[in-house]
Amino acid sequence: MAKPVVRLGAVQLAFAIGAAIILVRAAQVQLISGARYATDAESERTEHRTQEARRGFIYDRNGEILVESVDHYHVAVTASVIPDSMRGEAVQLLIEDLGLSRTQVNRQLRRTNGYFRGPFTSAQVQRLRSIPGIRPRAGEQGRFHPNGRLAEAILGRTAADGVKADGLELVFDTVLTGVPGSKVLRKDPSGRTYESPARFGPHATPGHDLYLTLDVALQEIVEYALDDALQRFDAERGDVVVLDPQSGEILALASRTIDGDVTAKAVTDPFEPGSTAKVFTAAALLTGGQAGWSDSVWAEMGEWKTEHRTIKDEEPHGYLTLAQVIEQSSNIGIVKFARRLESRQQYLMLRDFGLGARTGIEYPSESDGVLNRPHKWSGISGESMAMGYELSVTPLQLAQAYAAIANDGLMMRPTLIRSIVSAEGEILYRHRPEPVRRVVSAELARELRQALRGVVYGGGTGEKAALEGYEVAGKTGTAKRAGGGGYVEGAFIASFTSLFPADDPQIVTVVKLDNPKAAHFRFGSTTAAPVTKAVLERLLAAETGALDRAPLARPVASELGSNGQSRTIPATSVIVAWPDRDSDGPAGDSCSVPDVRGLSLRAAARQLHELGLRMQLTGWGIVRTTDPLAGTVVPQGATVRVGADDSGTRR
Amino acid sequence: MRVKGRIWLVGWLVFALAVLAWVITRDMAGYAAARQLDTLRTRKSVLQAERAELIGRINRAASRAVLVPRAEGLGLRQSVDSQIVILRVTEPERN
Repeated sequence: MAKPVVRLGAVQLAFAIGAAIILVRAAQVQLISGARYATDAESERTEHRTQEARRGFIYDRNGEILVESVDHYHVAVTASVIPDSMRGEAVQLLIEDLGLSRTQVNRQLRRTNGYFRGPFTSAQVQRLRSIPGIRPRAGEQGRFHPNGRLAEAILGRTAADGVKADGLELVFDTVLTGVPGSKVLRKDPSGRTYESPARFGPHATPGHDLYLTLDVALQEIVEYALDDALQRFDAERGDVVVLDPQSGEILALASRTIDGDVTAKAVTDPFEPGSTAKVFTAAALLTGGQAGWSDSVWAEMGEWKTEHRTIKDEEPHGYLTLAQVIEQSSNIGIVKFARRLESRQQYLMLRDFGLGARTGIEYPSESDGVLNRPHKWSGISGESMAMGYELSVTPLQLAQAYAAIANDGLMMRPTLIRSIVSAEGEILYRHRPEPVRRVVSAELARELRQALRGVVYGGGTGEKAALEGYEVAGKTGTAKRAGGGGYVEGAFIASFTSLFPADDPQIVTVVKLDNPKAAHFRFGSTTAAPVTKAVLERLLAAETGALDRAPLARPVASELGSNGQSRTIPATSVIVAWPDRDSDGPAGDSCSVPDVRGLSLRAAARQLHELGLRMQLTGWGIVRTTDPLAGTVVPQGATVRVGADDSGTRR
Repeated sequence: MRVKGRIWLVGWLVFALAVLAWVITRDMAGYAAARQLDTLRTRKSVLQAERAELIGRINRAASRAVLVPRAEGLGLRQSVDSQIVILRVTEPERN
């Protein structure tokens, strides 16, 4: 046995050799192969993925969400991993929560790796997360419409699974789409992944939000009225456009077929407007001085054989003034007046009213309509155009043209977009009313409105649109329906274009019904006019800011206060005070948005709420922006979008 | 004072173990935080989906297509324009 000193020396030598080996190996691992091992270790524990950017939301003019983005999931199933004791529960959850049939579930469970494509929402897959062998996998973001099919055609859809994008989702795709970022996932020893706070690339930048000019309440009124009209009058399809003539903002736009197709034909499909075009001829005559309102023509008692054809009126008339021609919608009368016009003069007036040209609305596939140049006209084209034939317009073009009359002769460009706001609350675009041209003088526009008022209240064809408490102006139209190289016998396109209120119009409405077949309900006067009345009645009763009610209000309250006597109100009356507010609430129908920039969120919220405003928040920290801007007058109850960040506090 | 070799060895071993424990604890805490964050993200996503679904159901239930037939079934009807009087509310006098 060796001496202890020798044994100690041997142990020390062994330790030294061991330490040397470890040092050499460590040096080799760290210095020579370090980078490779580090990469391998990193890839074992982490994974780099693209972080999808949130697609921008779409709101109505009052901040109601029309379209939002939600996370979508697919579900992968490995049947062999599901414990037998949980199998029954798993099948039940797959059926109940994912809305699948038992056959579908069993088919996937028989496979080694089953898969349910979905897409499913986060809420749908939540209970499945607790079952081993069932793995919800985050897929692409989906779009959710909280109002169901409301304004579906205008909003459109994104491209997915071979479906083509359309509507505003298509037109504003680059605005709504954000910039993807990157993220790092860490894996724990059991292989589960978690998003790491470490990041080697940029954060995803959300897309911008769109604020539309549509008013959800009015849009719903219009769609409901249109559905009802299609059923009641047995019409094949219909369109309604509601426009603010002063700003050009489209408040509601709906198209429907009886089969449920909601494609926005009001923008894409032109039609011959019939008698609604007579007012343009009257404008040309009055502008050129070829006729005055009191000039009259002999209306041939309802039937007139010209050199080329026979022109008929619905009702026989004797002498009619120009105003009466419009009121009674006399074809014979307007043709006789139109003969005083030169082709070019008539063409220029129609063109000035926007016929034959796109309005420029932010919607794909807008139609030009048809308005031929005079050198292409036949001998009777001018007469036909005076009656609303040989030209075609979309309901939107017709609304724009009448909006010019409503807006004292100034035509505005229609728009669907009110503003574009970044995710940080910065206003990137705000719609400013955009005049297109002056079509007629303000004086003539007032005279035309007076004539259109006579259509409704002067014993004219539009009396079924008449409201009792408020005045409407408008014009009926009934045109033969084109098809098969001519006109279809017994088929009509009925329309009614209205200005409300008549003296200082706030909205222009076009209602068009295609081929109403119900007995005695085929004309604009008996179909589209009552639909217009129904829309206006519901609009008056609805709680929406689409209509400024102050000019429509009657000063009853002040009368009550001044003489101290009560006023008897009929028992059937429904009193709608607008805006609805407490007597001790803040004064006035509207208020200015306060300047809350630089304030904390709590202080800003208090100020806004004290004024009866709602607050919608983006970000956190100190208030930087508001939409609408400070000082803007808004109705009480309006939503103010507040953008905040904490950059100031960090500084 | 001279520290014996074994003490040094034990000291270094304890130090190494302490460092190792610290690293493992931090790693575990990191995973725990990541798990919690993941759970919260999932919860947020679920709540957002539920909120969207509920708003959709509320809107559907409050729509004219649902309300009007039910109201008519109860004998109610839409008010006509002659029954709607908009009052201009005057501002209260302030002293």
